[in-house]
Amino acid sequence: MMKFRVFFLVMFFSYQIFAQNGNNEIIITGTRFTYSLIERWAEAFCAQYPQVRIRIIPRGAINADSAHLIINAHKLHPEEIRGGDYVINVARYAILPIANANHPLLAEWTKKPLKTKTLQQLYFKKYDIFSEEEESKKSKKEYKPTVYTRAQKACAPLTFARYYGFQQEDIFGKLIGGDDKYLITAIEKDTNGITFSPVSIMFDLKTRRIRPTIAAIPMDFNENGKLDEDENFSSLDELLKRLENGRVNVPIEYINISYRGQLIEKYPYIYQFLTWILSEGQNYNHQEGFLKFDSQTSLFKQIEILEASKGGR
Amino acid sequence: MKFSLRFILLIWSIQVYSQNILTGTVKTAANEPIVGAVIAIRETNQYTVSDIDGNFTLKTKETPPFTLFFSMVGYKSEEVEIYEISELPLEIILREIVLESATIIASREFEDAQEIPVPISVMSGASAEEAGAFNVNRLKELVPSVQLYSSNPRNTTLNIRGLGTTFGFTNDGLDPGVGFYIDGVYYARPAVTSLDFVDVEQIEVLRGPQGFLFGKNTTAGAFSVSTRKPEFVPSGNVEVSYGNFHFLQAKTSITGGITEKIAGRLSFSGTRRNGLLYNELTQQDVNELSNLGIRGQLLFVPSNKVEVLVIGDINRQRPQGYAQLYAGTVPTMREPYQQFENIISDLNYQPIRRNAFERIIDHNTPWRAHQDLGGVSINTDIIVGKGKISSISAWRFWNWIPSNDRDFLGLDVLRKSEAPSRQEQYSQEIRYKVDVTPNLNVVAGVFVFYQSLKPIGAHIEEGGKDLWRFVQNNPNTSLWKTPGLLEGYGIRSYPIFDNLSSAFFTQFEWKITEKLNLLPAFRLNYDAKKVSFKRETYGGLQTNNPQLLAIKNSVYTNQFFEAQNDDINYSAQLTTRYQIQKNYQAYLTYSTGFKPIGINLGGLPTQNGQPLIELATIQPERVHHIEGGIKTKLAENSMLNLTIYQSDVRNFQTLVQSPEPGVNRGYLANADRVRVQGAELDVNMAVLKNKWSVYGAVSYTDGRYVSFTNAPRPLEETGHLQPFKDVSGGELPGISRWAGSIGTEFTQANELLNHDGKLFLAIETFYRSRFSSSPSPSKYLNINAYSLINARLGFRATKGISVFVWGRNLLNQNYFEQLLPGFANAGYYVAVVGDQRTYGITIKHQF
Repeated sequence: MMKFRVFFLVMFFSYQIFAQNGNNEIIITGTRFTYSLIERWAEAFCAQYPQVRIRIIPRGAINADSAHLIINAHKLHPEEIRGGDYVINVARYAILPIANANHPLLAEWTKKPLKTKTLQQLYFKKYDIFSEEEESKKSKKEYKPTVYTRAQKACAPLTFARYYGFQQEDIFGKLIGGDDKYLITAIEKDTNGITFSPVSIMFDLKTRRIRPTIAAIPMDFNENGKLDEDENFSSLDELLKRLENGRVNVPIEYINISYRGQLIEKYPYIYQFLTWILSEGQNYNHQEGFLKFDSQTSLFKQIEILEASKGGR
Repeated sequence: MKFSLRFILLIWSIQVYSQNILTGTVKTAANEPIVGAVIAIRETNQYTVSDIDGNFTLKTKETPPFTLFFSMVGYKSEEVEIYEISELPLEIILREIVLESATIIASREFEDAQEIPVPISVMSGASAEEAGAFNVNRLKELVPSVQLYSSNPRNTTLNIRGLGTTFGFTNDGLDPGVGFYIDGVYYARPAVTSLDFVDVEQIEVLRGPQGFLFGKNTTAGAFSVSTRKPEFVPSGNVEVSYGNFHFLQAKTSITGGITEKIAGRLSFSGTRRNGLLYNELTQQDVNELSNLGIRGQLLFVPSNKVEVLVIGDINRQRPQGYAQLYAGTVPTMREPYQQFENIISDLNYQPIRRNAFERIIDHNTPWRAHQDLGGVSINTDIIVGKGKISSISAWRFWNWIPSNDRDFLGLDVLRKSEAPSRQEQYSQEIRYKVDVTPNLNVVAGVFVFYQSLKPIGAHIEEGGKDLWRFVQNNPNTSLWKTPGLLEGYGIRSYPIFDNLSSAFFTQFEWKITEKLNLLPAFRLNYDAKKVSFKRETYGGLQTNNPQLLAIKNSVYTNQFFEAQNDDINYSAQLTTRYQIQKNYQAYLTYSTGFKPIGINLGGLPTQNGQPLIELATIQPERVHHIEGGIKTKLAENSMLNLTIYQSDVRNFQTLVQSPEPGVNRGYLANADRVRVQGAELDVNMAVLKNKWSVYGAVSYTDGRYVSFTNAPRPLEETGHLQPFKDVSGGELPGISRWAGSIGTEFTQANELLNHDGKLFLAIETFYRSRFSSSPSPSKYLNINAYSLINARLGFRATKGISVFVWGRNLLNQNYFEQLLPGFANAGYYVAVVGDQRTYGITIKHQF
């Protein structure tokens, strides 16, 4: 039934894209875990501008050139940016290490939270046989958690790995084919499972609490050997606040949108929508588990880029 | 127009989304594409292969979640749990390994060797080829638990842990204890071990009783050879080797899609080598190689749920071969005039060389080991519901046209000794594997096998002018010297054998907890065997003199007997597997196995000139086997496995050598009880960033007759008043208490003719301790410990040109592979000598 629904929706979207590709329509594709925020923005924007249609199409169901806006959640290398494209940041997100709620090591980690180096040892492996030998010696003494990571090149694992000085392929463990949310599904099935997740999908956005089946792995950011008050958090809002205050030493990255400069002239609503995101849209970030800009300066810089693209410069 | 566009789009959407399309890339850690990696959906028959850029597309109707399995020989396999068919391509990195494990495909399910609670040795076809091992006979140095003795392709003993086939000669009326499979097809005759490898993907040696998951029930283990399947992406390779003794081998294989749903593969192999022995009498080399093989495959994939593979092959071997040489004289308990040295002295003969390692013979009957092997098989896999039905249908034939000088001397004792035969076999296996619940899967199947064996013309044993002196049993009469009495006197035998073996088998795998699995298995067998044996004497002096006729009758007599028997039997197995922690698993197995009744096909010994009909059939052999082991992955690319086992065999089926010329090839008998116990250690390690690997295997095997009170006398006791002997407590033949191999390989990434690859240097050494080469322990027929060193050096490319030099037995060690009693237990023994140093160069082009 589910499959049928997906099939129907995709079919419907495919039909719709080609059928009604007018100037009042904005087509967006890109990193999946950001869709909740984009949908929220779209909904609010369209409420103000009912003549505008915003459609979010899964990547792959659409040619990248047919989408007006492409969302990414990792820092783009210059070679990843098509010629003539502009890239603006629109929000931020954080990634946290998480475990099955019944993970046998959680109690121990709560007493003795993870230092960055321990986390690196847990999740990453350089392709260096000597470090592997060390790992193997270690694994004889300890029962090592099973790490789950994605089998596709994707923004969240890339960002998570880069933050700790590695590449995505250095994350070792079981590979999962599917969206970031399936990493959570995988550890839910394995009491020994650990993974990493964007904050927006590890929390129940209604209760504002972490999903009951998983737990954030306690981290010792100040490296004092214990879990301090400000390293512990129970609600999403508390966490977002601390993340924005820069007191939580975890991967935080911008979500960016790239678009072709000439589209701004042709589709005025795109400019309107992007401007709206950088202003009113920011008010929805927390609701969806995302972070606002770290400074007004950064935000203004995005507006400058947007303005520059409007002039076709 | 607009409507048409929408309609087309609708259709496109339906087509795209009615089946799932997984795409991705398979690369090395160095970001090089991996060509030919297999990407399979676990527990289905759906798979694809990565193309020249490492890209793959797999269309499937499976709905997530399911597991995708990536494997490539030489690389660590990888698994991806697919929860969603994502638009993003999968990017899989396979890391090189020295551990040759990866995927086990004997049961045609993709499984990790380290995860299966069965001791397994796995070799890739490529590594075997690089080591100059182009058939099974040359692999034994790599797997110390395997023993292979071959005095010719028909008389080949393939044993695992000392159990399997009779030592010395083969009797076709007996089932092998080691199953031999190529692409799932059971090969009933051991001659298959002499076939050149063509397109071999992987060789697996499964140790311990088998038959609960596939194929024939075997008490000692199974050899499973998997060949490369046809691929839709066109590719091919050409390989030429040249070595000393004018060794020349050419192999080629091409594959590609014929239509959208049919792919084909055509492979050819030819081998030629001069003989390793020299016959001064005929001034010709003997023990040469002359093999041709061709193999064609068609793969038909009509849908994602059905796959049909049709394989046909034909092989022709025409070597002058398999001579054994005089190796020594043994004083027997016979009268002085019956001692070998006195016999040959009377005939004014001396062996041309007393030292077998001079490799010179003077045999006056040609050595021929001509054979044709071929067949057709159809392998079908169909996904049905949550399970898969696999069917293997096969027909095969084997024509064996030998000629032997079975006196092994330049004397005219036995002028002819040949058992030309045609064997045909039909087999059908249907197996269903299904996941009943997430914690319970079941395999159940039926296996039916029929073989018929007939002589081509007749089996012939024919005496020459010197025969009388070897069979003389009375020195006080000159009648034995009667000119022409036994010259040209012989027997023509016509054994006709039919064998039906059918079975139902099943195995459950029950995951009691995440860590504890229980695998009960059961097999019910029905076996029926029938023989019609007729033997007629011919030739010699035509006389009515009763005394001369008595002499002739003491050598050969007419025989006729018919025997048939059938039997229903069962075997069972219980395995528990416990995951101690990640990468450490332990298992314990108890199983019963059996070999069905055996029927003597080589004639029966006589009493008062009459065949002993009660010896026509021998009892089934029953095995109780217990085995425990641990499998560990100590680190990435490193593993250590340890196995301890004990097999108790009741009614052990063995071959008894007799001094009677009429049963020159021995006859079958049961030994009351036999026990084999031992331990095996397999280690693989990679260090220095995978540039240096060390791999090794050690086996300790203690095989004894627990009770065998009426064993035949060993050669030196021939002539004892009591023809039988109690050898209880004595060692079984062919088993070295210690055997081991250790190898090391250094590699360095490099480039040749713009193609990436690796320079490599590999050295392997094999050691085995002293072992008995006589079914009843003998003071003489023992083979001393020896060790061999093999090496290879070259450049190995994934595509383009690979080139390497290889050498086997580099120190030119002289060693015996097998010692056998000479004709009529006359007091000498002959040897199968191990090959001297061989070396050569191989150039391979993959495109």
